[in-house]
Amino acid sequence: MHVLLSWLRRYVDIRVDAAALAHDLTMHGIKVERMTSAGLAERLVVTGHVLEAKPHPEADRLRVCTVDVGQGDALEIVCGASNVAASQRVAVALVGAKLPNGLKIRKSKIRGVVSNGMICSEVELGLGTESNGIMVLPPETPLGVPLADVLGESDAVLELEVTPNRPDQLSHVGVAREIAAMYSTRLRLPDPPALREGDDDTDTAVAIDDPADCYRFTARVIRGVAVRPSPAWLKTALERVGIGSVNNIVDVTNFVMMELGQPLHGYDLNALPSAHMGVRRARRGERLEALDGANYDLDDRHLVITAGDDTVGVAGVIGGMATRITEATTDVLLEAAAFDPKTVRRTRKALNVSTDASYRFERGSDREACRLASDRAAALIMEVAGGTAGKFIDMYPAPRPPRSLTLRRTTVRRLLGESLSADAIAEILGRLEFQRIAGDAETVTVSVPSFRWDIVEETDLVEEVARVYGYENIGKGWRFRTTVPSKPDRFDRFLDGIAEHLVARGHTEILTSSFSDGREQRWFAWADSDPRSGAVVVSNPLSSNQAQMRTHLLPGALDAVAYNLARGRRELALFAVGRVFIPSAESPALPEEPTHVLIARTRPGGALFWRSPPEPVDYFELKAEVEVLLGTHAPDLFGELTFEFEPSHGTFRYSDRRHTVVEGGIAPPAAMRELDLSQPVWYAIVNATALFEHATATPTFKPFSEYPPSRRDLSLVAPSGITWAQIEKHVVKVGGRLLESLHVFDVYRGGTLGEGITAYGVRLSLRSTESTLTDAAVDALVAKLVSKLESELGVTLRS
Amino acid sequence: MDPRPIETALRVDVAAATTPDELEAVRVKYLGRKGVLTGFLRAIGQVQPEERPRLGAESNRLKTLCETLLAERAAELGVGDEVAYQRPIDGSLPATNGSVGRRHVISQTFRRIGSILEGMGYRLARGPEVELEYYNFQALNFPDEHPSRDLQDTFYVSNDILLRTHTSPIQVRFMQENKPPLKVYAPGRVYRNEAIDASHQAEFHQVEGLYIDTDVTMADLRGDLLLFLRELFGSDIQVRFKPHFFPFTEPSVDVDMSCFSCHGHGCAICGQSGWIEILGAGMVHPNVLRAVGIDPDRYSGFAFGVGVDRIAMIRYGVPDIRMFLTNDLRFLEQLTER
Ligand SMILES: [Zn+2]
Repeated sequence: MHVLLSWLRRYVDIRVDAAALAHDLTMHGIKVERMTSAGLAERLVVTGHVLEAKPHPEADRLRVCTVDVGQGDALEIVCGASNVAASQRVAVALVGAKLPNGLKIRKSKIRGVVSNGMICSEVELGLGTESNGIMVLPPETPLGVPLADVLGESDAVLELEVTPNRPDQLSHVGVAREIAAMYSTRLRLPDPPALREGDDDTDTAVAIDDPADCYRFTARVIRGVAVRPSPAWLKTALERVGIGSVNNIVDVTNFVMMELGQPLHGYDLNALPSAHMGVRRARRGERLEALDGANYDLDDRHLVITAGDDTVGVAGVIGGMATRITEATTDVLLEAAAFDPKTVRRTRKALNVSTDASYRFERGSDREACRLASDRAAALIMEVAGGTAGKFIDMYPAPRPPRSLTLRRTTVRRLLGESLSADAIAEILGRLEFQRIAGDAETVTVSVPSFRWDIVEETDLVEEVARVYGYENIGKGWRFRTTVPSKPDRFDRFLDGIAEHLVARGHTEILTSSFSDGREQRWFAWADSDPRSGAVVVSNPLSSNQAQMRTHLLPGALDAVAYNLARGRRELALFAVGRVFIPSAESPALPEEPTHVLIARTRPGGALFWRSPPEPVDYFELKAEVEVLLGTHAPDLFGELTFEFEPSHGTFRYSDRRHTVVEGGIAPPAAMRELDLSQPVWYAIVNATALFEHATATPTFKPFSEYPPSRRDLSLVAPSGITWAQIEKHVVKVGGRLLESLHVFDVYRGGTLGEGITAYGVRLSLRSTESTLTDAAVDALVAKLVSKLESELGVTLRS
Repeated sequence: MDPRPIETALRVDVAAATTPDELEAVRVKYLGRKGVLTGFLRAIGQVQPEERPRLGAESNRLKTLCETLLAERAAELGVGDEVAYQRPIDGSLPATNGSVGRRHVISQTFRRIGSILEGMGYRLARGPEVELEYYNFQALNFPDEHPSRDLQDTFYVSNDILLRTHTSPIQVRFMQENKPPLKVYAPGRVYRNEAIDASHQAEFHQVEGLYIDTDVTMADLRGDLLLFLRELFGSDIQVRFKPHFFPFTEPSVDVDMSCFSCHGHGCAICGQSGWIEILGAGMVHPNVLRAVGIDPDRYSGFAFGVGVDRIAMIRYGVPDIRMFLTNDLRFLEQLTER
């Protein structure tokens, strides 16, 4: 919200400059986001010296002045003000100047005499709201300089951030009240003259359907007005706070809203179908063309204003087009009302419209302010548009019950750590118009002003005390202490360990978006039974390609790969740690959010290097990365996982009984096409949440053998269709506790062996914890193994 | 081909060498171009293919053994290094695998913040990113149908489920499950349905702190924030408290810190003001305590929240928040701090 410094000064004495005021307001909780100087920006208004002021030969009330403006010849200017006189210092708008009221100065002929500019009044310059003739400057004013420079800071517009709990600050008086409290000075409320309370307008009546929707509705008729453009002071004031001028009646309603915070609405009385005003819910099918030109379809969620039975406005939001104030309006019906904030908010959200009025009503208006606002507006209307004000008609079924709260000294001390006396607390609250009505040395009981919607309990008063006392005075003797021990979070340490491990192995961490456009579902085509085939869908996404939550980390990572390859990188080793969102079977429960770790690597072959160049990334390089990670971070688990490999897709999986712990492979062809990638990317996804479940066991010492190992090298020949994993399983089983290690040192396929046949060179290392193994024992074990392999898999020993 | 006699001879020769020159002669005898082990390796080519793997391994073993024995003997003779580096190489040539990994600047900032807070007695708490409306708003004293909800533009999944707009719901969950005294920090990703520009991202990162006990005051809040910010930005940092509004705290505070770059004199980083808006804080609202069954007449506490992306932008001079999720390696490789 914008406030004008000169406007604030109507209600409170401000003895500091605008910059100091802005600082003080910010430190007391009304944040000044920006300050701009207002007033005279036009540099073509300069100071001049009236050399001569002669009567106009053709017009009695005009003078022809010769004015020295410090440069070139003196100018001849025609002036209509009676107070102009020779030897005055005056403000001269030169030809080409544009005045705040929109007037552009041209060379013109006035009754036969050429006028080369204009001698200005304060009003014309937007520097005042009233004036008697031209502005006369002090005689010591320098000549021929821009008036703006002479005046220095003329006025300032403060742009305030008013938080939603403080609707009472959405007006100049509201802000002035804070300033008065801050500087401990007096607030001057506008004091409109008492208006005649005739018993005319017996036709006018108001009715409220439901006091829960509308707390108060008041109306007042003003007859015989002349609708025309507003006077300069009114126009300027509104424009400076960002409100466009419409006509004098509408401008007054806006002025009073900006002054007191009470939104007002003026209707053309003669355009109203009836002077019987009402407030009710709309009926389904009703429609209103509003002031903004839009047509609104209404239903019973919407609160409306009626005249007779016709809807003439949306309550608290916007008035109707048909009953608006126009130049033809002579009689005005002025509405000042108070509505239930939630009803206004619901109405304006349903209609998708927001106005200055709805902004205030949905935050909560002061229902006690209706009377003052109506009186003030009526008086101003009569001042700027003439007319006679009628009776104030007031329907007030739901006054806000008077409220009081008690603040204990101990509460202030408990929350602020400051010890204030009850009197000091009462004094501070009094400055904010909380009147002390009871209390003792330990407590202060105050009445809560009707405009303070936000004050509902004791703590709220503590904040008021703190604000006025000054946040900066609290905790001066600051201290650090703690009464609770911290302890490290094991999962956080676990994730950090994995991340540091991957960094040490040359990977760079990336951070990818949680949103997805459903690419993972397209690329992987998961079965319906796989929960990843579904997704958590955002109902109001930023864009259609961010409409759901990711179930997989690969798409985001491939974006990063594509981005960097496109910028000339050839080799990438990346990792990401992040949550994926797996829809829960039992909706509407929250999704599962396991944390996954992604590893992605790509390297083309043929890089130039002085030694043998590195090979392209392949399956076994990735597998090594995964196994080193598992072996390091889940040492107990590694041997227990089930491994599966899907040769046609180039994908693999390690799982325990319940989860897939790791899966990965080569990026799917659909992804490569979609991202236009030509260089294969290998990736693995580690389900860190699942892995962590296994990382918790505390190991216990197992004695190791003191006897030497026996080694046997075997050449095993496997028929087509047998994988190494199958052979390994049997070797491990037969070897039992004696098998210390199993090492494949050669794989030879086809050739002299025959199509599809594979020979494996294998070294067994056998060791007992109880004795040195004899050759006979080793031979027996090998024989048993060979016979098992032959009977189960058709694998033979090559001699 | 039997390696055992070679091994025996090798052991004898090494033991017999008593000067560096003699040791060098042994090295040449076994490892030289016409050496015994080189010959052994060549001879493997002549045997049956199936024998080759075993003999190859033996050859390697002998070679390693020879180097080990020579090094041990050299050490005994006090000539170590002179013997170890005889091969004619240019050690200034580039190494084979030079890939250096890095943490993301946001993770790095999370870690830095987390470790400071842990040192101050806070322990980590976490919660879901797809969250119940109840924890994100209602339990945090955001009234229904109130404009305070407009402060945080929200992504909704359904009427009751949303993407958390702050990490505060973690505090509520933690307070439901734990009794005071409690001191936690809650890091994580949060979501706001906001137009994206250089300083706004729909996904960003927060850390919140919470301390509840019988007599926690705003003075404690100031103390903790000073300690935290000084640890993060330097020991001469000052803080400034300004009143503000958050539904879940009362009194609420907007916290400025003195500019770490110009020390309060005014510069481009702080917009010439000497102060930088760094975090929001306040005393936990009694309604929040009541919602989790903590008696606000007995306990009080403070909470604060800090934007991790913002801290990183300030700390490293990053001009655009969108860089954090773009993953340009030219960006990621610049900002490593250990
Ligand atoms: Zn600075």
